[in-house]
Amino acid sequence: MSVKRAIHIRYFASMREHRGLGSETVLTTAASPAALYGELAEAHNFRLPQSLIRFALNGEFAEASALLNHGDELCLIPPVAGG
Amino acid sequence: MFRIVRATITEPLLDPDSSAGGVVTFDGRVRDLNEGQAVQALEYEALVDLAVKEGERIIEEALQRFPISASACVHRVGLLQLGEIAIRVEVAAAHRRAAFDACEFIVDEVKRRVPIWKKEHYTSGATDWINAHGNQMVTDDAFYSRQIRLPEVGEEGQNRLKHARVLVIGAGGLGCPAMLYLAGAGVGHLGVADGDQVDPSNLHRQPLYQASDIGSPKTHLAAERARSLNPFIDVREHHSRITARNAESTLSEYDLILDCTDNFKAKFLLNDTCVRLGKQLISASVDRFDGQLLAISSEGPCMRCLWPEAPEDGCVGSCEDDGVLGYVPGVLGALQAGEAIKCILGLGLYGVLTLVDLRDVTTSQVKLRKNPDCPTCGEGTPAIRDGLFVSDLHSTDLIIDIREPYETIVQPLNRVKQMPMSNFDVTDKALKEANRVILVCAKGLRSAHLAVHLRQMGLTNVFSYDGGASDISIP
Repeated sequence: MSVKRAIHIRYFASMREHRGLGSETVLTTAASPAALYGELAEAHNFRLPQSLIRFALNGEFAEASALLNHGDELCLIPPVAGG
Repeated sequence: MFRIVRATITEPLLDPDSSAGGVVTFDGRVRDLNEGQAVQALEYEALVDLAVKEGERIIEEALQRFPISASACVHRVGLLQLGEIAIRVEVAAAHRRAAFDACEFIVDEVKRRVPIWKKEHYTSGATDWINAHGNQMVTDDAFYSRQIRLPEVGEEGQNRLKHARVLVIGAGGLGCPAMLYLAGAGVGHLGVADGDQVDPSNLHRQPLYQASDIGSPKTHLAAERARSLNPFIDVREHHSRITARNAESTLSEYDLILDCTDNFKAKFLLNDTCVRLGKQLISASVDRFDGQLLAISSEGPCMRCLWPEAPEDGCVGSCEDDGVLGYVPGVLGALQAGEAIKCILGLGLYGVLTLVDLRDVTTSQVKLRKNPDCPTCGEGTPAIRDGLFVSDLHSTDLIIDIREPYETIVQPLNRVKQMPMSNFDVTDKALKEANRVILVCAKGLRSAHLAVHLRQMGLTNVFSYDGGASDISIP
């Protein structure tokens, strides 16, 4: 059985609207931002495909396949177009 | 009564009854000489709404302050010839003393408080904007005095702003505040591009416009407002939506572009065009209480390093679909103007995505990484970059300094051709005829970028000086 990690998630723009929260800490077995996004999308019916989301891990842009560590902060950044 | 008029002033302003023992009329006329310079004509420009409000206030004050029965003032705008009446003040009172005093009071206060500027056309051909009537001349020194005091600006920075060429694309929620702050800062050549007319739903977040502007083209109103705010700058209007067809020709006249558009298609078009033309781009977007801000230099990283393919419009919300409070694009548009000013002053923060969350009033920043495979700012085909950099110069080389005038003034390079990147003529015959063309800029970044661009256009004899203007020795 995989180890659960605590990941602090911050939601921006439309991600925040979909989730109804600015941030939360989740306990997850997901090992990558992509896997974690998959879990969250299923739990909360996110409609944006993962390919459109950019992940910032501890303040740096990270690949969707990057490795998540216990205590990481993950920002979910969707594109924004309004003006 | 206070009015701003275009037509010639001929008629009396008041029709006093028999209680008025004296009526004083003052006519201010266009004189042929100002501070020793022969004047040919005058052009007056007013911030009309504000001028009328302030003028009415002065008339009201005169009525309360002096025992007079009536007073009125009319000021002209537009082009006036010598001898024409620019301002007429009329005061009626039971006794002449009060009429004289009130008349003088009104003229002095109008000079001091009403936002009217005049441009003097001298017989020498020169022109100069000064405040109306010369009592309190608005010089550009006075206009910029508060910001010149900042060590980050100073005289040199103000001069850079004066020579900067900035285009605001989109005169909406982001573009409105951006225009005002850029005009106020003294960006000498300011352009605004938009194809829209003012719609009632715009007004809550686009404070350049008012209810009476509904249906009028935004570019003209925005440009007029910027001109009224700062008479020392040149403002151009491009009344059309930016498309792939006109982007390159429109952007080519500017050095720095503000992306104040509201859709991905336009944003990515501007990203690609700016990188290709070597322009700097300040992009911003909003979604409900969130905003994103990104400054891009032509070397990258750029928007496509982050999103290689432009997201489909409609995949995330828009102001139209999801709603927005006016101040949200207001904050982001002001930040865009600020970042643009910083870029012009050499304090630009490029390649950092700033996330502004106005629900919690917090910001976060994430640094972009340049993607070597980026379709827009990536390394390109290796052959194009082969032998791009040179450090040994020959007497047969055509050396071109591509820095902008505000840089070459500070640090001139003698015995080389000057052709600023912003004004680079790719059709110049000398480019083809030279054995080798060596481009020089301040640090070797812009010159490398332009050399790649010229090589892609078939000019394979172009090289970039490996270093900058400060460490070059001309053979």
